[in-house]
Amino acid sequence: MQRSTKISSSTIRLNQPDSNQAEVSLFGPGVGECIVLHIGEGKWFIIDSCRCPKTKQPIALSYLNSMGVNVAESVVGILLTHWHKDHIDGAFDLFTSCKNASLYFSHALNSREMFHMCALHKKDVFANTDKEIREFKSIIDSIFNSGEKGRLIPVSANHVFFDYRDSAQSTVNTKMVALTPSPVSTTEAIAQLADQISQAGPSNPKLRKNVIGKENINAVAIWFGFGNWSALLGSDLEMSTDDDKSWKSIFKSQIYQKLSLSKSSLYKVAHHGSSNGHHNDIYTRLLSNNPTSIATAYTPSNLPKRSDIDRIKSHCSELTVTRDINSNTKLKLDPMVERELKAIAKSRTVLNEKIGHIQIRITDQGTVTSEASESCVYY
Amino acid sequence: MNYKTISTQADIVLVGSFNPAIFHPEWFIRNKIIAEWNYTKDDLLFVPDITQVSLPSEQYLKVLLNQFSIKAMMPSDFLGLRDIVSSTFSLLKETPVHQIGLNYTSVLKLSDEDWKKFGKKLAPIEVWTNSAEYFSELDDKKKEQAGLCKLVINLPRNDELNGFIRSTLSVNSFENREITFSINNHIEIEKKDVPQMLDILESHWEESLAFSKLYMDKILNA
Amino acid sequence: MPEQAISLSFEQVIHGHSSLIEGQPWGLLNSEKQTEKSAFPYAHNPQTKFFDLSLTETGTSHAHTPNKRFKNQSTIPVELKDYTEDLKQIWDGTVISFNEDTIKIRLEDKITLENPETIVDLSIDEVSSQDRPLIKEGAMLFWYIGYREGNKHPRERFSKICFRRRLGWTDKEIEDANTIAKEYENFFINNSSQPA
Repeated sequence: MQRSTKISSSTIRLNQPDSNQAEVSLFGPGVGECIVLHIGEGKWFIIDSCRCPKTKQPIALSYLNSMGVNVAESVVGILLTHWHKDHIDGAFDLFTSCKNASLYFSHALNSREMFHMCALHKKDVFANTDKEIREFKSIIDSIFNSGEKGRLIPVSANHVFFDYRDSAQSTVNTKMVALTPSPVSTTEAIAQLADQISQAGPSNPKLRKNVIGKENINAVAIWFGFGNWSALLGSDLEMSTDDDKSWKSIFKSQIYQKLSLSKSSLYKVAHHGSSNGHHNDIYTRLLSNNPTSIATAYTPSNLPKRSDIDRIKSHCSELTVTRDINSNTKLKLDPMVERELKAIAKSRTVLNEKIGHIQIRITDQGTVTSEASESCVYY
Repeated sequence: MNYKTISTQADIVLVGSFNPAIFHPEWFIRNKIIAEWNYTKDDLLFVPDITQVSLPSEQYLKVLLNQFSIKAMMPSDFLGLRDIVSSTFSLLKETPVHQIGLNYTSVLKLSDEDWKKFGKKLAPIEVWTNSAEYFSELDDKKKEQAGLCKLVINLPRNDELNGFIRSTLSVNSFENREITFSINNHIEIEKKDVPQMLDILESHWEESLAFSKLYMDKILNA
Repeated sequence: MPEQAISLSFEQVIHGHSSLIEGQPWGLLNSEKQTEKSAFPYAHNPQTKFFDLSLTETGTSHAHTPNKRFKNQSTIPVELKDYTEDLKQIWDGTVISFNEDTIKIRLEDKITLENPETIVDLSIDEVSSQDRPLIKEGAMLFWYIGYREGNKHPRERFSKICFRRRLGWTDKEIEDANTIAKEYENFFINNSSQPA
């Protein structure tokens, strides 16, 4: 079993990174994930969205505003890797605040089936049956009404969707490559949407549940390069038995060789460290020796489990997780209610009382420094 | 103030144009709005132009040609009332609905000490007794009978909707020191249609209940 | 009181419309002012007022009420329980998963809003047999915990889980959504430059 160290006090740097520095900041409140990237020259890129438990604001906005970043000008892109609520909460607020940003999203969702799903789920303040899809629906409604079609850019496998070559001031090139979803995954995701729509009808009550299928097969995993350094950001991508889907499609496509992508020394572990998101070839073919790993917890499923941590550590030099899976905050409840809950509930887990933040900065020379906030755990 | 809550109820009242014949228990069961239950003829008054149903869990429905009203007697059913009305009228989308009342009522028992004090605080009795010249000549026992019986206060709304919030406080039983305190949260439905009514109901029901509870509490402890 | 107002009041009493003037400020009884647009448009007794169970219902004290009360033959019996509820906790829940004996629910606190969400595992026995067919991933419920107490009813704790019944989409709603989806498809995918 791996030894762990709970971070006792935050060492997060509160100043903006230098113009020749990249930053990868990973946020995780227990349910939710957001990555804020500094790509040099005061430009920022946001991947996914979750809300701060206390302020309810998108954490990316809270973080950037706290450093004095003008989000309307300085955020150049937002990528939504897939449409599970824990990765998209607050995305519409991000989109409207970051007026200069293009919005990148999985190609599977640029389909009539997804638009039909959005149109079905009208805003439901009464039962929140539309909560899963509300963010995406709000974004496409906003673009449809404003006519700004150019802001929306679907991405799929082998797509160099972001290539930021700055001007004379710096020699650091920044590039982002979508490794997934593969064409087969995209087709399957669209078929799943069509299937869900076909099940809608008077005899099937409206429910609060994910609109997208269980495999996270249309999630966008990306390679992020900053000069000679790179990171592999695995989103929630899970394994599949099919070579043309998911992680296996990356190995099959040989995109790393085709695009001369360097093996990464930082890995944002896929799917909260679960065994479903793991494949040994990720470490042998896509990552350098003894990479640094960072991960968000997913409290409803107690991820990452101890076995997951042991497995990840066997491949990495270090692993930091945004939350201690064993922590369990006491709720403020009436004493009688607390007694009843204890008597009735077989088990209880509190979600999202604090947000963990892992902040990694990389100079153009490749020097890496890493800081973390209080609720994070270092293995 | 020292008081005890004897009962609480919440009700939703719609004014418009309805067909009472629709609202038979079988209609609710068949459309899966309410779980199947074994109702008897005693639970149902189903005559031309009037339907009254005793629903499960001490909820009651009454439908007239111009009024649909449903009430719940237990706080744990208040949120569910909204679900029943919302589901009902999402199937009857063409119904003309002109007004909605989101209502909350409590029956309270006051202590002997607070009975007189509370009435005098809300309506100073001297204005009334001093204006009756004969009052000073009455014996003490008769003078005791002077006091507040019923009070109605109108408040404007603090949102963009037309309507009002009207509180009524009335004596339920002098002997038992009981009062009924009701709050009628009345809203005009400008478009006179179900979608607007559902919009108002869905976004205002919980807020209305919370406001009524808090407002009542503040008045009682003023 | 103006003379006209007296006669109006009397007539209305005779014709059983005394409630029409209830709550009206005196000024509005003046005939001149009646032709102006009323500054108090809701002077009449609103029909959205309290639910009126019997056609001649009046409020009664529960202390003297038998279990079943018949006002007259043209009403249904009202079974008045001799207790009221003091709610201490309300959760808005969503079913995450379930098996034959356990149900996993994500709870959002509706009383103490700053409490974070919680996930609990409960025995399926906590769900009434009527509600069990509603147990599905994504099903919604309210969970209440509190006390019940009444004049003849001793104070007791209660826990009540109520599943919410939300209807599915109608065929028209599905078709209307498909029409909107086609417009979006034309705009986002088929390179139409303007929304339809």
